[in-house]
Amino acid sequence: MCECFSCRQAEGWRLILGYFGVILMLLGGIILLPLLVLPAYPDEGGQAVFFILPGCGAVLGGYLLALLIRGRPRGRLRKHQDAVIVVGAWLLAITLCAIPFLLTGNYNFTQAVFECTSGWSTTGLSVVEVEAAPRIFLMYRSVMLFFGGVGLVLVMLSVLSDSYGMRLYSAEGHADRLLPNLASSARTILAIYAGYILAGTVLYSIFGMDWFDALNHSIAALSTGGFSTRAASIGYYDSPAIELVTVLLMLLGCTNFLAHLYLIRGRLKNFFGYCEVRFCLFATAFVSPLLAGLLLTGGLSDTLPRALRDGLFQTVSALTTTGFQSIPGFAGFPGAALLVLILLQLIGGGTGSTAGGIKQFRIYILYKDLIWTLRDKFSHRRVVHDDAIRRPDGLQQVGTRTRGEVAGFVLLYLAVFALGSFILSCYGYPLAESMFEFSSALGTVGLSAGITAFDAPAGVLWTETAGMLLGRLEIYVVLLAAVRAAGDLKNGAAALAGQLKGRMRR
Amino acid sequence: MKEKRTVRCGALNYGKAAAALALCTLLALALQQLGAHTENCLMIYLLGTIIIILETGGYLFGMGFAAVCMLVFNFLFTDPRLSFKVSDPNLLLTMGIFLVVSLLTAVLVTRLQQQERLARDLARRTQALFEISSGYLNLSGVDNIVYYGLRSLYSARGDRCVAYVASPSAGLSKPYYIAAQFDDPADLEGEALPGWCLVNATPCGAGTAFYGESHWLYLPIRSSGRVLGVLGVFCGGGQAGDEQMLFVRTVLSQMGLALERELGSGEKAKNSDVSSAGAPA
Repeated sequence: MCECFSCRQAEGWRLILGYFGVILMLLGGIILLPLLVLPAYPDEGGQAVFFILPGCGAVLGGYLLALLIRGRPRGRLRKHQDAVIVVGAWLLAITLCAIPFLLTGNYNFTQAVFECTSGWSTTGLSVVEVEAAPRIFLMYRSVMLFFGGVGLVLVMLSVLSDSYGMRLYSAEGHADRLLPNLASSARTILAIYAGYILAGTVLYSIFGMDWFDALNHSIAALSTGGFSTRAASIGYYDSPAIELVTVLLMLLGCTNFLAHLYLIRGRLKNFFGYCEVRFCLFATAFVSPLLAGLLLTGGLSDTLPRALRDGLFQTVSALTTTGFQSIPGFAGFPGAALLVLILLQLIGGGTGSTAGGIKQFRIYILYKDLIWTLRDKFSHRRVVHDDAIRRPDGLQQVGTRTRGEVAGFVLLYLAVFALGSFILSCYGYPLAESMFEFSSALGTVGLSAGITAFDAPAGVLWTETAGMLLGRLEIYVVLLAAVRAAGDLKNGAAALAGQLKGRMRR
Repeated sequence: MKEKRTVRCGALNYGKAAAALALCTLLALALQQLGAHTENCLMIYLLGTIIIILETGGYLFGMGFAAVCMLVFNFLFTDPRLSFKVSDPNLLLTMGIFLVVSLLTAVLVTRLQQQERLARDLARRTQALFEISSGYLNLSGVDNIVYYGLRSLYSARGDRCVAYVASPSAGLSKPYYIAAQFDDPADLEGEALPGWCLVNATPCGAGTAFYGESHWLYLPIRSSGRVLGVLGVFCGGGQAGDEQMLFVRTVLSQMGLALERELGSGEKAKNSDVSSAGAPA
């Protein structure tokens, strides 16, 4: 193979397009999945065409693209082209999955893309009137939550055993490898996920939900997505049992997949020793009564038991970035309570889980960094400390480089948060509500103060869309992909211009 | 093991065919709902047939799929619906042409795939021969040369071989073979046939006119008109194919050159020792 710069670049892009082909085929299958609901709701048969056309088209288009890499030597991915694949795959998923919404004629492009971004990023903010929407579309949203929570790359890797698998897996933000073989890891995660969803569906059905609502809420809770089939969310059922099941599923959903493996294998010491699990339980135990108190004093809950119930539920919903609601709304919420929820939304769930936010792991490292810094100030300068934190598989050393990276990420995250809140407030919304709404979008939470709606301005929806995508892909991947793609385009254009000049001279 | 793989491939092909049929039917139904003509729906099935032919690589499977598609199309899309009757004779013609086009496409695609496979195999063999030849340039020692040839033949084509080097005094040397390649020691025959091959400088064994019932094919290792040894290739009751023979003979010629070089340098060294011993003081 020619090793000149242009040929190497072309090889890298052939590989990228080939991967996009595989992803397109998977997306086609995902778009067709909601059709399985039709036997239960045959009166919605007319909606099937909105899924069949894009689904089959995606499968065919993907098959043709995938021919670029079938039966040929793979070539090499150049630096950061893995980030291009990950971001490109997500953009492809969002754009393609928006087509069924567009075909109905009820949603414009902005609304369709917003809804799909919310689904794939497991946010849960919605422009859909759920009480009037066809069930096939409600199931479609849940399907997007399921695959978005697990991760598009992981889904691809479970079927495609590949030498670039680990790079793509890491680029999507998965830090843990459950098993030595990546395809086995992917299948194990999917199996764990599916098992919990099945258990959740059964529990919900026992406590009074019909099977359709039970399945959708189970998926939404475990994926920490929060799409409900009811306008009032979980509050519609007014059932402590259902709320308890939801709390359990949300906590499971925001827990690292590796920790799940230890839990399932009965290694409870490793599970409960994990810093994120301890942080999550502590935060829940500490913040729930605080929020309950604020709800009680603010007149939003009538009695203490009710306030505690709502406090626990909303704390877990915000911290795990799920976004289910047990209360009517957040308009008129006391400022202190809004601030608590904003902080929880910014903190987010566990790394290597379906949750969003800054991640509890990073917050824990920042907290420990503060402790270690204070300790160093008071101890002799010749004393050497071995700073580590506990993960499910043992202690992990935390050096200054890691601490610096975490601090840098948090700073960048907060900068994006400030920018997004500013943009929303420019549309005339109060600052507190703008901050609440954008922290919900950026942290892929889904709680809404009322700004996100069917008739929200396009600028608001696009700002939140960008926030959801940046939050899901943890910002850096998007930046790397943009820089790489821009660089390749520039070099490609320069190479093409050079070739054209050469031909004209001849 | 081979049977298991064949069954798995068969199941995979049927799975692909079922998925393709389902997708084509769904798409055709959707297009018909949007007002597409019946003939366009048949084109969807033609597309599916071509893809299945590409995927399964066999025209019989493709033709079978085309026939099933035609029946499904007849059942779901032609009047009277949900029956195998056809009211419009034009559709019979359309379906007939569909089958013919499917057959032609199947034949063409299968041939193209065969040619592509041959080209790839040729490229792989050429690369393997190049690597083997390059390896012989730097080898010394009769044992190394022979074992290198045996390992190369096994890794490139899975051929299990045994080699003998001509010994000046006693005809054949001990047999050179890689024990790990032979689970059953009974597969190794005696030295009668290799000895015959060495003496007569003629191939014998499986697929030849001499001792054709043997499970082995013995070929003389020649260079510059001399027979330097014998290579036995295990055929296991069958015959060596033309491609296999071409590959083996090419490796054999390289082995012969290397052996001649090695044996020749050994003789030179001996002669120079003798002449220096006999030189006057």
